Amino acid sequence: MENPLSEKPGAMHDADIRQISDLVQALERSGFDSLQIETAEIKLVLSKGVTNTVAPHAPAKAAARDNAAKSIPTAPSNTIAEKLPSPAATITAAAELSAVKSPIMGQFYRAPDPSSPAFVEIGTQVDETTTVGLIEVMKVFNAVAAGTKGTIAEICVEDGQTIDIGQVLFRVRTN
Amino acid sequence: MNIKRVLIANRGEIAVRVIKACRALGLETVLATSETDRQSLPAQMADRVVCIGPASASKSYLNANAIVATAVGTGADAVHPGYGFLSESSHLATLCDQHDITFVGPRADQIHKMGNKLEARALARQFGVPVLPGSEKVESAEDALKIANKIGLPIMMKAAAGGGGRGMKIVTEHSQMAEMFTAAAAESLSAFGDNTLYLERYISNARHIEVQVLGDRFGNVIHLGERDCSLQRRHQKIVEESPAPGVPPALRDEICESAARLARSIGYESAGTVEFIYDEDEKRYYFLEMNTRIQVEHPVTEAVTGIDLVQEQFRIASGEPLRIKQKDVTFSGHAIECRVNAELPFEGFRPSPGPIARWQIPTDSHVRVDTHCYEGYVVPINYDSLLAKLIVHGKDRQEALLRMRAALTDFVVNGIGTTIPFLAYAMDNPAFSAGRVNTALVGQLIETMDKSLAS
Repeated sequence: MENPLSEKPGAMHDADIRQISDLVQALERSGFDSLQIETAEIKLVLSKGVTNTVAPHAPAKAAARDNAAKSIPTAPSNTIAEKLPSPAATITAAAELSAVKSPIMGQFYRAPDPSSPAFVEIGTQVDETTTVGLIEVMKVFNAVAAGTKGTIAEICVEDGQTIDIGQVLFRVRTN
Repeated sequence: MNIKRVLIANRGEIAVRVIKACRALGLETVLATSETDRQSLPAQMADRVVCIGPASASKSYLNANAIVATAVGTGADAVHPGYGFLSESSHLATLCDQHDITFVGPRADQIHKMGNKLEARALARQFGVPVLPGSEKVESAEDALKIANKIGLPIMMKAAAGGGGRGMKIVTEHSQMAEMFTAAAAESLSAFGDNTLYLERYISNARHIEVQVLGDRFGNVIHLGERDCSLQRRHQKIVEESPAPGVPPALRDEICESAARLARSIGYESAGTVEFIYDEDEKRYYFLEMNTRIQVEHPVTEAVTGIDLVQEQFRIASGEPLRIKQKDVTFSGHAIECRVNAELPFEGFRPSPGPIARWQIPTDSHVRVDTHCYEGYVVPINYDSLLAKLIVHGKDRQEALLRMRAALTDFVVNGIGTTIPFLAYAMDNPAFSAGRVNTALVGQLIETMDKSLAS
């Protein structure tokens, strides 16, 4: 017997979510800033800016955002906690500067230990996987990845500082 | 008792535990806290609270100078270090000595001697306590290979200054040796400031069994039986019990007596724990290390012996001889402890700090809960994840297990994630129920739990 819930109007199918995820990735690879698609079922607006909007169904919006967050670390997202225990930072683009934001709340460290040099300084070249710092939560250390390619332009937090979820740690000049 | 006022240099449930022992003995309490912990439960309970530094432990709970200065400034004549932080710091013990303050723990030289694992190993061998086939200091990967050829693979590489699993590597293939040696040495250097390594034979079907000892300054040392702490995740204990299930009684006596003998050999003062690896297949035991402090899991021993270990620590520190002789120590029933941590067991046990919306603890008479938490308390991000220790006692292991299952059901925490669901899952596991425990069991439990969730 079919699950009646899956036939509810507006409900998302796995196949839909996969398609949206593919579209998000296609946009990410492309030189375009936004993408808009309209079908009988759904109207989808994707953009590389600070906002990503999926309209008009609210459940679809949430699902798409979750999926985008899981599939591309560079997408704006509020669901970063899911990627623990080795989180990647989230990035939002502002002009050519990208902000590297903290995926979790904790204590931030710029170096692996007090006697070692910092992971990055202003001018350091980074790519998506470069470790830029450590965040300690309840004695568990999580490495923070830059999540984008570019040059460290600004260091926004101090070593040992307690930081909030979503707080900007670095700004990276992307080019 | 010649101790009047105690400075407690710790936080969380152990600070609460020490304050309760002080109250029972009529001692005044001063709590040294970090900025974060100024409103904590132990801070509400202590007679006086002094903030000694910011949230970061390295600037507060690990600052020996600040602790001793606070003790002097508040007229405290003793310092209780709890566990963790500076509890095994010979430096703090020495500083206390220099300022005529009683360190509630062993002497500085005893902490130092047992703190170096190689020295402790040599001492154990000297006093007829079995040690695992292995090496003294290993100089290089080539050196390690030679020793491995002699004792056979797999071997465990360990840091001489080590603890908490850091600097520990299992080597199963000769080809891994060079890489593992470099990694273990680097890890050990960064964690302990010392890259000295040694090797031991690795036992696959291993249990962790430890013996509680008490010694006074007159050379009297007794043991209070053993605890099985085989349920560990990443070398952190999760469940502890006493007595250890399924160990032949004669062997159990031998393990306990060898622990007391080792402690006696250095005239050990205070409460301490001698840890052993127990080879379940061979029914043999080997000395691992000695912890020169009160341990997290001490209530398990208290439950089966009726002896308050923290109160005994104070009596010993104030110069009294042990009130109990070995023949007076009796063991009754079975006790189990579960550690309730602020972790999400279904999400890789990641930490889960934050405000506790609901906190309902079991209240049955055979249940004990040691905790610093309450409804509305905000679990800080800065310290370890232990929220509470849940201890039950029963006439035998079966009854204790039933009571633990009931107590876990009654333990309700909302607002943050806890390990309670995992603990309940572990209690229901057939292998654990049957007492077939080893150090690999938790890994298997996590795997089967994740699989059953996924399907």
